Amino acid sequence: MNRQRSSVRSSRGSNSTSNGSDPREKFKDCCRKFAVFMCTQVGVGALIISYALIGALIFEAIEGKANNTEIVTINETRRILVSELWEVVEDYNTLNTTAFIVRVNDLLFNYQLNFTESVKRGYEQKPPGEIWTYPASLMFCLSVFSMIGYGNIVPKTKWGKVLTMVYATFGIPLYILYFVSMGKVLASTFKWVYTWMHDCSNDSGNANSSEEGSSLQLPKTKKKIIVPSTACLWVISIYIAGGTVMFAEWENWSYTNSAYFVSTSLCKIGFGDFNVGKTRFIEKNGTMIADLNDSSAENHSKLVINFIFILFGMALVAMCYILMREEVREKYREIKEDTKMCMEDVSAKFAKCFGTTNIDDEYEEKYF
Amino acid sequence: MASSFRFIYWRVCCYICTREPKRNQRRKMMMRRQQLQQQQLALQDRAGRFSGRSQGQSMRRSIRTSQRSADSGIDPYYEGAGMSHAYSDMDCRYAGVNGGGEQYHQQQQQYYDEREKMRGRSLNYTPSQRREREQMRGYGHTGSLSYDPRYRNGYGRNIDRHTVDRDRFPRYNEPPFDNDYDEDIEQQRLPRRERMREREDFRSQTPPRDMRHMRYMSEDRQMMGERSPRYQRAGPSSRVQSLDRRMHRRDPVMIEFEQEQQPQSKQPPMFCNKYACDDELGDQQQPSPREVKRSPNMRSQSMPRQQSRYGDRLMPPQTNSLRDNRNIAPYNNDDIDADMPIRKGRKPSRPAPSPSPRIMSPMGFAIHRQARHLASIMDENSMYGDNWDYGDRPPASQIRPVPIWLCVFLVIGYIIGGGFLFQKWEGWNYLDSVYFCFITLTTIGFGDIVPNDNKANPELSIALCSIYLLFGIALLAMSFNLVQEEVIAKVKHVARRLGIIKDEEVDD
Repeated sequence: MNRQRSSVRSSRGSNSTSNGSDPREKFKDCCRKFAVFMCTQVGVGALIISYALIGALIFEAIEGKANNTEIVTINETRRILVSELWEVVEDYNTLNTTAFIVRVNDLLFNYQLNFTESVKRGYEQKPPGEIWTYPASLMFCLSVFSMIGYGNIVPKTKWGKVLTMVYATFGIPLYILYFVSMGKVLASTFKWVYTWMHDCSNDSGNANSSEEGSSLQLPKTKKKIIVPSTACLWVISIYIAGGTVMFAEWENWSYTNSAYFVSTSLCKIGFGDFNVGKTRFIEKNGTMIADLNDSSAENHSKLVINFIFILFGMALVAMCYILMREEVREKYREIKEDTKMCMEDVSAKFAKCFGTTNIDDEYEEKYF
Repeated sequence: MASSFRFIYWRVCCYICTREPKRNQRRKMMMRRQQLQQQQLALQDRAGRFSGRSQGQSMRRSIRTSQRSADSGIDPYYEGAGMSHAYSDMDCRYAGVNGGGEQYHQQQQQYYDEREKMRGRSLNYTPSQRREREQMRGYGHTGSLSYDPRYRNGYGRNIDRHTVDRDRFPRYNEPPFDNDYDEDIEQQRLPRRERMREREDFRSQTPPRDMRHMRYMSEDRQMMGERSPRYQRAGPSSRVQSLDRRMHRRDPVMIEFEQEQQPQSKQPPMFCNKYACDDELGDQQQPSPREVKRSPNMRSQSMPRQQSRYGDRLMPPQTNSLRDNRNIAPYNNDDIDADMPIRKGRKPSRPAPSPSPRIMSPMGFAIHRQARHLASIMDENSMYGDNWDYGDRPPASQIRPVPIWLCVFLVIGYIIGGGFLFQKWEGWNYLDSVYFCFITLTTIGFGDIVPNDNKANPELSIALCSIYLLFGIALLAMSFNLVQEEVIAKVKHVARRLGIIKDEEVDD
């Protein structure tokens, strides 16, 4: 049927192509080929990566240029606090411990409330320009369209929020497409590898079998081989272990924290308490200050590698999902068939016991 | 939730449609009178033939006739004439034996289509019955009315007249090209069923093949110089019904045509489900020739055109049906858009594209909707009702295609409404509320904005937010559920049109 259809279609296709003018047809063919390529897994992967890159550019431009008004507010609040503290000292003009403590306590408490309010409104230590570096926006884009949503970097401007919504609207279906297609590719690859290994081990084990035995086993090997769930879980575990070691080394996290980060990222939970590429604080003259030099190629490359790691990890998760679902289906079907046969046996036995054999035969004839 | 939404949506559409046919009443009356006379004549011819039918069917026949009449919006006062139409289906078939000519065949087809329209039932026949029918038809077709792939499922799926059968395409196109029809059907059915079970399953190979197949057929016919008439496009919801009917209508025509082209030795297997059994008997009572006759007249726009074009030839209708088959596919193609400016978003009362001149007219379509609504009102547990078992999950092949725009609109409306709610509850500005709703409903969840930041009454705030999110996530999931197949189908169709996808499966 496929051959028939393809022949019909090719004949039709040839008819259509022969009619059009050549340059236009060539252009159309080029477009078509390009579109076909884009629909393949490679195309989808490239599409999502380019979508992330472009999104990162846009977000960096929008959010990086914004002014964090909270910084101004906080500075103002701090200035007011300092002047009020001075007023307290001026008022008393003596070393009156109790009065000082009481007044300053009130002032500081007010400042504390103001400060937390300001932080809630989005105060951050660094100005947006330093927060929204290109790799950071790349990670932000990833967290948006993969629905992880870390939350360590969030858009604060009005346009940033609107753009986030639009970006998510288009990015999430694209990501799902990537997820699905990559999952399929990896699943088929893994299945092939597993089948190959399975056959290899079978062949080596049955090398001494007779002709009859091997012919008997031929149908067996041709039978559909389902990758067991344990194999998928092993693959995922190895991947997580690799990521754990990587992040533990880079970020100086403990192995537990690193594994926690990798797992919650791959499960698309994304708490955001651990973040890759955070600015490090280095000790300088006895104080911890931000190591601005850290926003260097090393930090950037870490973020990029993190991006790729998470993206590929999602594909692996998709692969495991597909393979495990297949196995679950098979098992479910087997169980169902077994149960059905069991019930039939039971009912047949029941019938025989109660002497309603004729009816049951009819029943069986009718339905089997 | 998705199935209940579909149900509600369908009911709303039906209700909306019922308002439409008022302007059709007058035309209906006229046509009815015309048809009455023809019907009388026809009856006399067929009366002899029909005697062979068993008595037991008469009861059901009468019920079905009344049902059908109600469906088609026939005035109950015409019931007398309607009852006499009970034999029409059988008679039509018998008439074919006499070489009743194209008109008869047309009428039969019309009638058949009308009947299918109205009842949307399975037309499975036993192989013996099928052969019998073929003989009766006397057109030398190996095909049979019975071949309705949609119902060719041994699962006993419940088929509602409202439902669209997407499985039609795979199986529908199978016979002419596939000698191993039986196996294919089986294999197709299984995956379909499993696919139904698991929503996250991706498109199997079946639809692309079918679409390709249909495309071949239609394009072959186009190459033969047939031009499909410009149908009026049904709105999305009307498409639901019309798909159903059209499929049925198309079946006999298509099958005959296909079998003309490529005689098929093997008949599709017949699986007995309760609809099949009912329909076998029910086929013999039929929508009156009156309805058969009515549809040509009722198609105000396209009928004249089609009549002139297609006359008595067998081909054109099939061409149209094929073309329409493709057009009607749940996977709407751009052809339809080209043909019909009307597209999604139209009310169900929009006239349905007709694959053949005999197909019901736009008016008939609306009337049928009304009739169906009336019938459902009159008898909730009617013949229609017992087809639909809400306890059973509708198979993928019979999902009513809720239009995409509606789901999108729902989701957007929910988010905007949530914006207002959170603006009031939490005191955020509107943009922040909408942003929060969106980020939470898409499960991204940044955490920069959270409810109950500084509230005096935290429990109430959290409770309200939880309720909102609960329904929001469910709504989102429901929308995904409802549109995913349509979206994928549309994308595939567009891709196919662009020639991206040839015979291989799409990655989407």
